[in-house]
Amino acid sequence: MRGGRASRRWTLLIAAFCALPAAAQVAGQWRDSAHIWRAVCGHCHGAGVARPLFGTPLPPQAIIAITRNGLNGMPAFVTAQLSDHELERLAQWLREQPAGAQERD
Amino acid sequence: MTQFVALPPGLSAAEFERALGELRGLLGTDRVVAVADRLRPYQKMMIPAPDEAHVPSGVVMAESVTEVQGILAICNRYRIPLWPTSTGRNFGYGTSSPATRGQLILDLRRMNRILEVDAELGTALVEPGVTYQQLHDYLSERDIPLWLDFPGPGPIVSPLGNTLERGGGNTPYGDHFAHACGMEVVLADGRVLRTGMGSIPNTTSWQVFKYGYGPYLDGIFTQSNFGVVTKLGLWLMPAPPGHRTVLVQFDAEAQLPAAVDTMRRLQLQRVITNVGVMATAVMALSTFKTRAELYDGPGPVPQPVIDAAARDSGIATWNMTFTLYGTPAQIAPNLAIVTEAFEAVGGRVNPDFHDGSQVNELSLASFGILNWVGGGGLAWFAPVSPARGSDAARQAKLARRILGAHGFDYLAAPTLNGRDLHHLIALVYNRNDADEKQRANRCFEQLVHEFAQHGYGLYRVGIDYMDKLAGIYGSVNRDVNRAIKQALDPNGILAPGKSGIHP
Repeated sequence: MRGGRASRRWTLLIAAFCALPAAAQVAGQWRDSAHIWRAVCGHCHGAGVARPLFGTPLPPQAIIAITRNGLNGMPAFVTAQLSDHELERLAQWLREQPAGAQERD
Repeated sequence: MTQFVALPPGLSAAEFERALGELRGLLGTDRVVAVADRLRPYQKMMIPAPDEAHVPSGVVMAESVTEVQGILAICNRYRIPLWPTSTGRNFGYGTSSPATRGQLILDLRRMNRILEVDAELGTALVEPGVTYQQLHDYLSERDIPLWLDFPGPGPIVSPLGNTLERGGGNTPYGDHFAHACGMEVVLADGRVLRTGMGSIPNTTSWQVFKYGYGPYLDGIFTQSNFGVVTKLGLWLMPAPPGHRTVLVQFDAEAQLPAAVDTMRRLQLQRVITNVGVMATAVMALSTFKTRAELYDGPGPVPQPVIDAAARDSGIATWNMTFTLYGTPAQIAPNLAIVTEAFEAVGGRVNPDFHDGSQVNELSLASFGILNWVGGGGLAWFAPVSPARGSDAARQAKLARRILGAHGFDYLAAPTLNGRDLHHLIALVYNRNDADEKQRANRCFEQLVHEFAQHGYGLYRVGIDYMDKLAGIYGSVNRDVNRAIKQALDPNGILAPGKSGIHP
């Protein structure tokens, strides 16, 4: 009986896990800056479509302003997708990456 | 009192403030936005429309169907027009911006659950905020052998949003609405409709059989403003055992009719099963070169300059790609058939090409076209054509003439889907240059007008041309849409002006 209850609880846990957003990709759900890079930025900035950003000398405030409002062909990213905190960490993370290591995968 | 950037039509600032207070009571303060700097990201457009005509009054972000119902109740009471968006991309058609000034954007990107994936049946049920990247990651993390079909900006856009706009991709599942099955729709009065088999309690078949019983309703919730779609069923393609992408190149413009006729025959015979695409030389060049690298004069880049650059890069006048899927034993005879057919009309066949969009590889490489002139301007001009060589050639000639007259290049990538051809043309321009923006607007106007005179209509259009395009489709069409609108949304609060449908 005990085993039965335990396995039922385990099944319920799996069900609950499955109901959570999988690899969710809006504000508050990103795993870390590398996740944001792989799912979003890297598709252009790590693939030769837009300027490379690893090790960028751009000040964080410039990265934040451009990401938030867009610039020329670059789309804007609203707070519902990237929180202010996530964006600040991303800007710092980009500056810390070794220049040249640009490929997404 | 808050200084609003725009007000919903007919509302005073005080009334709007009261409505926002009620919305904050429902959603909390963070998910109700009406201050200028937080609204700015929602206003970035690519199309050559006047920004001031499409300023939203604010944004509300729902996280559940219950919240959508609550928002609708408040907006009905205050008569606030609501512009639903999934991930708010719609690049080259208006991005997040509403069709008319003062609408409140209903941002659904936080409703982003992948509710179900059935690996055996090849189905999924998703919410509006799920992106193709999210779904792709979900499948690969679980080793589920199903493929996605996505539009150019796939990683950052929503399958639900793109399907509701009747967008497309390049695999055999490239007609997205044709591969959707079952919707959940919150109607303007708050009732929840599940279409097809979804209306049956404890349904077992919502994502496998589209039609249910009685009228098939899903179509009226696409490119419309009759409800807020909060769930969508998708059919996903089983990963094929193998694939081979073929490039067929044609050096002369005069070969276009034969190329299209040959492709149509092979698609109708189901030798080629995916949505093929054929790029002009400029379109192909624009993905890795800028216009300034080739030419710094006014007007479109002269043909001899394009031809020389194309030759240097192994690009032809028309460059058609498609993919054969299956086992090596299936692909080999089909490759022999297509090779013979295209070589017979003068095509050069390269059977070892790579195009990620045809083989489940997400990328934003298509954003490269925005580098062609720079300045972030893009309007998709997307007329439908019969997949007949004579029509395709007529459209190409017409488009080239009109674009050239306004100083723009013919960046075209028609998609080929059996009987029809979507003649996708990217009108790219410098949006930071007011004169060029005006020129792009006039060019678009002439394209719409002249194509209509020849009996060609668009399958989709930007928010600034919705009324005009609806007018081209005629008064009876508009009357029927208005009658449905009045029946389902009598207060006219859902996205007035969407697809030219007004209360």
